[in-house]
Amino acid sequence: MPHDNPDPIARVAPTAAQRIGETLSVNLGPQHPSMHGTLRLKVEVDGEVLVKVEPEIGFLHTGFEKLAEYRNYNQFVVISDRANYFSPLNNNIGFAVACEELFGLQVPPRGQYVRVIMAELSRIADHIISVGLQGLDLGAFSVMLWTFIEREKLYDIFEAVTGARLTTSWTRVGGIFRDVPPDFPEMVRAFLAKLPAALDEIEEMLNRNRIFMDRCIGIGTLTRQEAISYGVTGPMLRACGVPYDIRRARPYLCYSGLDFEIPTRAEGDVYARYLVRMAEMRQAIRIIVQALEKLPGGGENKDKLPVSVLDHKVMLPPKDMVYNDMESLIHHFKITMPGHGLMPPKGEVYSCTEAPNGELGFYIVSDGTGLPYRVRIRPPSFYNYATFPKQATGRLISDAVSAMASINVIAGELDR
Amino acid sequence: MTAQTPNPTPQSPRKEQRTLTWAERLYLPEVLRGLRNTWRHLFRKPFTIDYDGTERASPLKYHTPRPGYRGEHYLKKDEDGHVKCVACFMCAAACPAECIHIEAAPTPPDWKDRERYPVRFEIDLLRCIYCGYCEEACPVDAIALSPTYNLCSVTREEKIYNCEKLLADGERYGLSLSTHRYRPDGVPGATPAAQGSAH
Ligand code: SF4
Ligand code: SF4
Repeated sequence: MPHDNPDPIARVAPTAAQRIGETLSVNLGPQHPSMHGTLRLKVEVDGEVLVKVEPEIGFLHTGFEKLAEYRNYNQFVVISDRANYFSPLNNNIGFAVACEELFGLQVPPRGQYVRVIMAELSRIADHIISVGLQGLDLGAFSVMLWTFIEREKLYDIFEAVTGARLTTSWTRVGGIFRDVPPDFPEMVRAFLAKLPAALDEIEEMLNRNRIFMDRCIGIGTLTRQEAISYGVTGPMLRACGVPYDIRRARPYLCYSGLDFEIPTRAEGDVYARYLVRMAEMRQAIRIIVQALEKLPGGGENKDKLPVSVLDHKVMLPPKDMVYNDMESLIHHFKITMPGHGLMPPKGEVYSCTEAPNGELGFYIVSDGTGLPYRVRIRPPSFYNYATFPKQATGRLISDAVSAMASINVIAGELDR
Repeated sequence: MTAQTPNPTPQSPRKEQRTLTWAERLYLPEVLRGLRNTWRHLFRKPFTIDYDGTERASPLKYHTPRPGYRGEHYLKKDEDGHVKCVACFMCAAACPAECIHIEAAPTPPDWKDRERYPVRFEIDLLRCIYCGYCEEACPVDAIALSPTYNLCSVTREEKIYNCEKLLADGERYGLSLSTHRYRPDGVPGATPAAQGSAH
C-alpha cells in the first residue's frame, strides 16, 4: 500500500524519469482560502513538492506603529485592539502593562486579577479558534463551527465587560475604564463549566482522526535549536520542548501568585502544536478558576475596591465628580486635552506579555511629551511566520497549508 | 507567591500516541464515532440567533446587548430642550479616529446657562471605531453611545450624523434626558470616600 510509505514526499514526488527539469511558479494568496489573512506565498513547485517558498507580507499594512506617534497613550489602546483580531484583549493588556512600566504605576490587585481573568479568557478564544481553523484547513468543517460556538459565548462575556465584542478597547494606562459587571464571576463560571465538554468533543473528533493525524504528524517539524534561533515563542516554541512562558519567566500582573503548568511537547510538529494549544486551554481554565476565587471584592465589589490607580492625574475621575467638583473637572480636562495630561518620564521601556501566539512586546520610547516618540510592537506572528519557509520547503503543498494553519498567523500584527 | 507546579519535562513522544491502532486503521469505526458526534449536534438546540429576521420580536432569538454596549451615538438635551453640548471640543480631542467635527458659536441670548453651543456637530460614523472615548471625555454628559448595533446603511452620506439626527436618535431611544452612560459611575477609579489622600 503506497499509503504506508513512511515518507509522504516519496509517495508523490516525481521520479527522476518523470522530471522534466523545470519548476512551476505558483502564487498562493494573497486571497486564498487557506491563507490566514492577506498573505502571499510565492512558491516554486516541482510536481507537488515545494522547492522554494517565499512568504511575502505587507498586504495588510496598517501603519499601526506610525499611528502611535500621533496618538496619546490612551488613544493607542484602540489601535492595539486591531493589531490582533483574534485576541484583542491580550493586546490591550500587553500595551497597558508596558505603559504602566513606563509611567511607574502599580495597578490595584482587583484590577490585576480582572485583567488576568480576561487575558486567559481571550487566550481560550484565540486557541479554540485557531484549533478550529486548523481543523477547517484540513477538512474538518464541523469542528470549526463548534469552536465558533464557544467563541460566541466568550464574546458575550467580553461584550458585558468591555462594551464591544471584538474591538474591546478595554484597558487604560493605569487600569481599566470600568469595573466588571456584578454577575461577572457567575458568567465566567457558567462558561467554564461547559468548556471542558466542548474541548473533549474537539479532541474526540481530531486527536485520533486518521486524516488529521496523517496531515499533522511529522509536518512542519522544527527542532528545539531552530525554534530558539528564529525567536519563535508561544505554543510553537513549547511544542518544540522549550518550557518558556513569559507568565512564568518574567511574571507580570498577578501571575506569580497563580499555579499553572506550562504544557510542552517534544516533537515540534503541527500535531504537537495542536496538543499544546489544547493543553493550554485547560491550564487557562485552571488559572481563571483560581483568579476568580482570589478576586478581591468578588463580583459585587461591595467595598468599591478600585480596579485602577487612584490617581486622578492618570485615570479619568468618575463622572459625578467631574460634574460637581472643580478640581476633578480640571483633572478630567488635563487628561483629555492634548499637551496637558499623562506625561511619562523621558526614557524607554520594553515590556512583554504572553499573548496566545507568544511573546507580545511593546517597546516604547518616550520623549517626555504626551505622545510616544516611537512604539515598536514585537508581534509573535512575525517571528513564528519567519520559520514558515523552513517548515514548508521540500514538502507537499498540502503540508504547507497544514503548517500555515498551525502557526496561526495574524496578518494584522504581521504588518503593523 | 504560591507554590507553583514546576515546569514538567517535555513529554517524550509516546509511541502509541502518534501511531494508529489496529482498530483505528480500519477507518470505519472511527468514521462512525465522528458521525455520532455530528449527529448529536443535529439534535441540539440551535445556537444561532435570528439576527434581523421574522423572529426579532422574541428576545431569545434576537441579540440584546448588555447595558454598556458601545453602539451608535446620540446627543442629549437639557430641560429646556436645547442641545446639552457646550461645544468644548473635548470629545473631538479625545477621539482617536478624529471623526467628530464641531463648529462652535455664541448661544442665542435666551439660553441663559452657557455661552457656547455647537452650530455644527457632525460625527462621521464611517470613521468612528466605537471606542466610547467621546462619551468618556464629555464633561457635561451631552454625548453618549446607545446600544444600537445595527449599523448598516445604503449610502455613505447617511452615516454622517449631524446634530439634528443625533438629537432625534436620543429622542427615539427615549434617552434624551437620561443620565444613561456606558460607563457606570463611581466604579472605575475611586469613590470620594475611598480615595483618601489621592488629592
Ligand atoms: S466612539 Fe470613539 S471613534 Fe467614535 S466618535 Fe466617539 S471617540 Fe470618536
Ligand atoms: S459633546 Fe460634550 S465633549 Fe463634545 S463638545 Fe459637546 S460638551 Fe464638549
